[in-house]
Amino acid sequence: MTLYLVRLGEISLKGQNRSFFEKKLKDNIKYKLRPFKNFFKKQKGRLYIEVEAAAPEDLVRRALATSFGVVGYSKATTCKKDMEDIREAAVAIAASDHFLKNTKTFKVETVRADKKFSLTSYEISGDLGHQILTAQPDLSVDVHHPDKTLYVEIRDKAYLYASLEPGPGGLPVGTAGRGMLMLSGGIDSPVAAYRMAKRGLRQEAVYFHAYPYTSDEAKEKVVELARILSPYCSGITLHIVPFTDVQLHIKTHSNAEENTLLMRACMVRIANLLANKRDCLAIVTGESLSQVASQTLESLAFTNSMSQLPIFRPLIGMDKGEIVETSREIGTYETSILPYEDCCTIFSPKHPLVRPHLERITANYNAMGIEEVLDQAVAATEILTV
Amino acid sequence: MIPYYFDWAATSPMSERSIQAYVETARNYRGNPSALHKDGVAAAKALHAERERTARLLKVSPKEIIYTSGATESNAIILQSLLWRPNPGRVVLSAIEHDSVLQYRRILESHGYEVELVRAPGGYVDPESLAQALNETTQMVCIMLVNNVLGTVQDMSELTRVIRNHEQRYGRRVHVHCDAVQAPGKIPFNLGSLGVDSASFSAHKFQGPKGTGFLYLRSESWEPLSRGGGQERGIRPGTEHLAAIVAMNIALEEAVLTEGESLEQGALLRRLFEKSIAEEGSLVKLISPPFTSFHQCTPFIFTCVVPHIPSEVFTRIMYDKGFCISSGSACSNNASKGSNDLLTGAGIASTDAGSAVRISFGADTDEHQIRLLAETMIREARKMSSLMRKR
Repeated sequence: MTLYLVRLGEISLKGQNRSFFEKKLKDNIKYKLRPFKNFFKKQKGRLYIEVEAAAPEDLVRRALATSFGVVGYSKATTCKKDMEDIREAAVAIAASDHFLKNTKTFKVETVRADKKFSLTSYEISGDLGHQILTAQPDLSVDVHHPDKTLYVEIRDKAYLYASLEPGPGGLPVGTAGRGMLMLSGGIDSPVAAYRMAKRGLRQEAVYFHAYPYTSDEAKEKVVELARILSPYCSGITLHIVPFTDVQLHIKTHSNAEENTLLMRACMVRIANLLANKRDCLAIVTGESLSQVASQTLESLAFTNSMSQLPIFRPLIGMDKGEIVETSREIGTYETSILPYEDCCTIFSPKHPLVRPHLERITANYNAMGIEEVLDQAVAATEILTV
Repeated sequence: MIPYYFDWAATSPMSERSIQAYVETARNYRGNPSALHKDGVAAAKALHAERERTARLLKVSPKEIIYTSGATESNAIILQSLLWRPNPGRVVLSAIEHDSVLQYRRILESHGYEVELVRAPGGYVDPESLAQALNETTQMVCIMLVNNVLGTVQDMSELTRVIRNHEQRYGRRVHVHCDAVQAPGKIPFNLGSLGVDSASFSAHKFQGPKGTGFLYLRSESWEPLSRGGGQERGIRPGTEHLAAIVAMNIALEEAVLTEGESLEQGALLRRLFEKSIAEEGSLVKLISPPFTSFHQCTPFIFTCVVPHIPSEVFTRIMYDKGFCISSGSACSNNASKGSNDLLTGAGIASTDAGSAVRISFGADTDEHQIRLLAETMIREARKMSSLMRKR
């Protein structure tokens, strides 16, 4: 078995609910480690995860790096609380390529949680530093700015590790309930999904497919985006709504400049219908204030009014550049920029309404008599789990 | 496979004889034509015979045939050679060239060339505009013989006459290159009579294999960019693809031998299509010139417009009904790109260009298929226009 030591952030501050958060995190990680055997042990602010040695290290690292709630993690070595064993383990870690790579100076840092252990923290660090210096004469000690640090913890056993990998932080997915994400093929909505997952929201996603006005490649692109997001979200259920009839109905029952806004309203309505069906308590979108015509304050006020559920817009105050940066970090950018658009030019007016009058546009929406078409679209929705 | 194939200008199905020839040659000729052993010598002899056959079929000299991977590479060999020249001058391109020519515009300009595009209203290069574009520093002119989107055929003898007159006036040679990739089998074709210095061909446009073609080049020396083992007079180094060359010649032979009959059939089918859509008003509009004679256009390639429906959307609808047609642009947001630039270059209104679909057919196409195509296009265009109508 290989041991990983996982540090928890915000979770450890939780009071009576702490075990609920820890359990969600454990379930999320366990799901990603399957089919490899693994064992979890909790200690204050920490998880100790033992994973079957056959599990590829990349898989384990990826599982931890994508699990919200993890603040940092390290691959660790454990041994008996015996100085001989600890010395052997320390020298072995210091001889590894990972430790020696670009390393000239090091230090040993010890935490002695078990106060019955015969040496003090300071003595242990000094002893192990000496051992490492003897084995690796090219290294030297620098206690202020070392290139590498060997951490030693004396608890029920001795734990040793040299790397501190950052985790994604946040709260475990599933601890904040469930939301319905409006996922397009663009750059923004996957980032919105990531942001909300980070606050513990489990998400289902809805995509509006208007074949033949949009291509099957556009749909495949969205499925691929959901697949990339899936580890962060601990799985995503994708609802693909056939949207052609809705768009044609809008086009033939409204003024061209209102097309886009009415389409957004219909999307929000459908997202609400699906959310109710799937026990979601919020809608999530990638909207950012004033980015496009349907994201002006007036437009958002209108689309908001079409939703019974709160609409979460985690990107509302972000610049495109910041959004792109996150999208690159989480690996959705390259897929998002593939040239398969999710809306055909036929349905995009040349001069869309930018500042709709709430009452007037609401009346125009109602005059379309579209609710039945929306119900039909929801009924014909295809569900994919990725 | 989609039952009705109307995208022959993109690529045509290999003929049965061509496939057989490929398989047999690949099986029987193991050696590298440059090798000294018996197997190599046998391959070299076969290659020699094939070059003579290509030349015979096109009534040109075997020395003028350079086998390549197709027209894109052939065009590249011609255009890239300009980069060696110490004194860049002017290069004249027609505005309706394929991307494998037009994309050199920026490269040539970055190397000091002045690149002049000649307008082609309605798909025809205007001789007067061509004459105006030529000046004392002009080194090369590129004109496509049969347009790949509109099917228009240039009057090359008139255009080359303009260029040669210009040469006499300035006493300076101008290299005339012709992308003739859509010509064999689609118009009465006589390479020698074009009066050009070089021309490009791809086998897969006339039912030969993909990835094979040739460059017709009259100049005895030519400085290419590629370097290698000296094959094809050093102009296109790399081991020759003998099986593909044999298969190409079989297809070329078929195209040349059946030319008369096939063109007549093509003209008949084209007229049938034009009549069928004309009967239905303006649901489907032809924006290629109507077929009158082979001197003006090939019957086998034409572009239609289904007003207000983006090309890509109509292409998908037709695909779902079992027809492969071409939206002419590889982009997916219905924006003006790819062949739309070409249509704009031919003076087609941009509203029409965004709704243009290309139809192209070939030797396997029959009357039934053409009728079915016209009926389906009209039916679907009508359906779409009623869906879009405001209620």
